[in-house]
Amino acid sequence: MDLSNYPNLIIAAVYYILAGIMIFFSLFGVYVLNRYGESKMLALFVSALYIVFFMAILTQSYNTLHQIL
Amino acid sequence: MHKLFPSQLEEEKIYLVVRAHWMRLALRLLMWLLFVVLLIVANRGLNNSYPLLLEGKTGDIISLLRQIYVLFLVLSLFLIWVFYYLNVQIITDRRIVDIDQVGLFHHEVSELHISNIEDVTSETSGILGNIFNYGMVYVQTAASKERFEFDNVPNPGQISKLILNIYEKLPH
Repeated sequence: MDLSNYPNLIIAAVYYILAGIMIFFSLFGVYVLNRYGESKMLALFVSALYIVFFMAILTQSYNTLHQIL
Repeated sequence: MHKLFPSQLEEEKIYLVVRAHWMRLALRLLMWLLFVVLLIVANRGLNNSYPLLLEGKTGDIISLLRQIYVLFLVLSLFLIWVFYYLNVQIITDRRIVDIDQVGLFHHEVSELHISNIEDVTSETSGILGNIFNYGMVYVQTAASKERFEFDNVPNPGQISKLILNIYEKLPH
C-alpha cells in the first residue's frame, strides 16, 4: 500500500472512515439484537448470516483498495 | 424462565405478543429495493455509456465505491429487520408492555397496568390499512394523560377487544 501521495491517502482515509462507521453500526446492531431479541436462536442465526455477508463484501472491498493503492 | 420483558413475573400469563403488521416491513423493504435498483441502473449506465471508465485505476475506484454502497445496503437491510423485530407490544393478564427500539442507541420499555385503563380505541386508516386490516390501538390511562399506542398492529379491533376482556376479568 503506497500512501506517500495525497490521492492515495485520501482514498484510504475515506475508505477506512466509511468502513469503520459501518463496522461500528453492524457490531452495535448485532449486540442490540442479541441483547433484546425475544428468540435468542433467531437473533443468533440472523446475526451470523449478516456477519458472513458483511465480512465477504468487506474483504472484497479491502482487496480492491489494495489493488488501487 | 425466559423473560420477554425485565419485570415479567413467573406466574404472569402472556396473552399476546404483537409487532407491526408485515406490510409495514414490506413498505420499508420496498424503499430499500429502490436503492438496489439505483445501483443496478448506475451500473448499466456506466457499462453502456462510459465503458472506458471501468478500465484501469478509475475502474478500480468505481468498483470500490460500488462495494462500499453494497456494504451500506446490507447494513441498512439488517437494521430495517432489527428495528422491526425489536419493536414489540405484549399483553399479559396484568399489564400492557410496549417495547420500543427508537434508535440503535435508544431502547424504551413502557408498562401500563390493566387496572389503570380508562378507554381503548382502535383505528384503521389508509388504503393499505383497510385492505390488510392493520392500524393503531390507543389505550387511555387513568394514571397519566398520555395515551399508550400500538403502532400499525394487525387486527386492531381484536386487540382492543382482548384488552377490554382482560380488564373486565379483573376484580373491581
